[in-house]
Amino acid sequence: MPDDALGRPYGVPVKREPILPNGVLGMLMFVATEVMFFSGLISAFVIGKSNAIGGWPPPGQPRLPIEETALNTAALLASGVLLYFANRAFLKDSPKTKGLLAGSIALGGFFVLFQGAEWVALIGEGLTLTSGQLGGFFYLLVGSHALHVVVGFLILLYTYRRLTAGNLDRFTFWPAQIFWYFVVGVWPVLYWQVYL
Amino acid sequence: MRSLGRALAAIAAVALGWAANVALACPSCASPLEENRQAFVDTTIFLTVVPLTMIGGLIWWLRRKAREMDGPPEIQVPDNLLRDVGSFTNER
Repeated sequence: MPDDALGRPYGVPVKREPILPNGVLGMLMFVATEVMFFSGLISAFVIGKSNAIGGWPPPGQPRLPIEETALNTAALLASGVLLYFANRAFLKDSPKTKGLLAGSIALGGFFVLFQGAEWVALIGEGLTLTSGQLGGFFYLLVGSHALHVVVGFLILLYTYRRLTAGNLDRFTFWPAQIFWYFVVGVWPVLYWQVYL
Repeated sequence: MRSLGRALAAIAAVALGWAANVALACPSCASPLEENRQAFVDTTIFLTVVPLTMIGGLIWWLRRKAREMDGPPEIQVPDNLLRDVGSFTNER
């Protein structure tokens, strides 16, 4: 059977590369649902806050640590930036990838630990899930985000393990990055709404 | 006569819409706090725009990528080889 100009036998269908890998499309759809989940929570918080009698934060409730959390916010944003550069290094097959990814994971871990310490202090001051509207909303919103950070942290650890084993491919790394960028991107909105 | 009937029906529909300003379907709409009413409007707009933006953005991006992938062929065939073939089109 004669071949065509590209050396392929006639009659064999050309397999087209998909626009998006399945893993990436699945992660994008998942992140879209997560965006709506957080949008719903933030909207409920905004309405609850605007309905508070006596102003917000409610009188007699502990103040949230704005400055310390700003530092933590910077750490999480830096983690996202490092992940971006880790991806660039990964695509160039650069040896810097490992260090950049490790830095991103370390900053994510720092964020979780710092927030854990912050929660311990706030619970000590009397801010609990049932102490009032502030406590209820705070632990629901920030707690939901913290849960996502922990999951993202574990996903990044998994990608790091694959990287060190030499079998990380971009179809695994790409969805992991999308999830982490979502976690990083939603936090400044929460910080602005809940803390400021 | 028929067009007059249509015009009257349209006017009636507009009049009904105009009169519907007393229909308050949400508890926050009747709130005495202006800030609360505004928050309700803001969050309604926010929750309407966010999914439309996400879905619209994905469709726009996919269309752009699909067009990029349907770009010029990988191998440029010299014109002298195509001379006897006639008009060439990339459409299927």
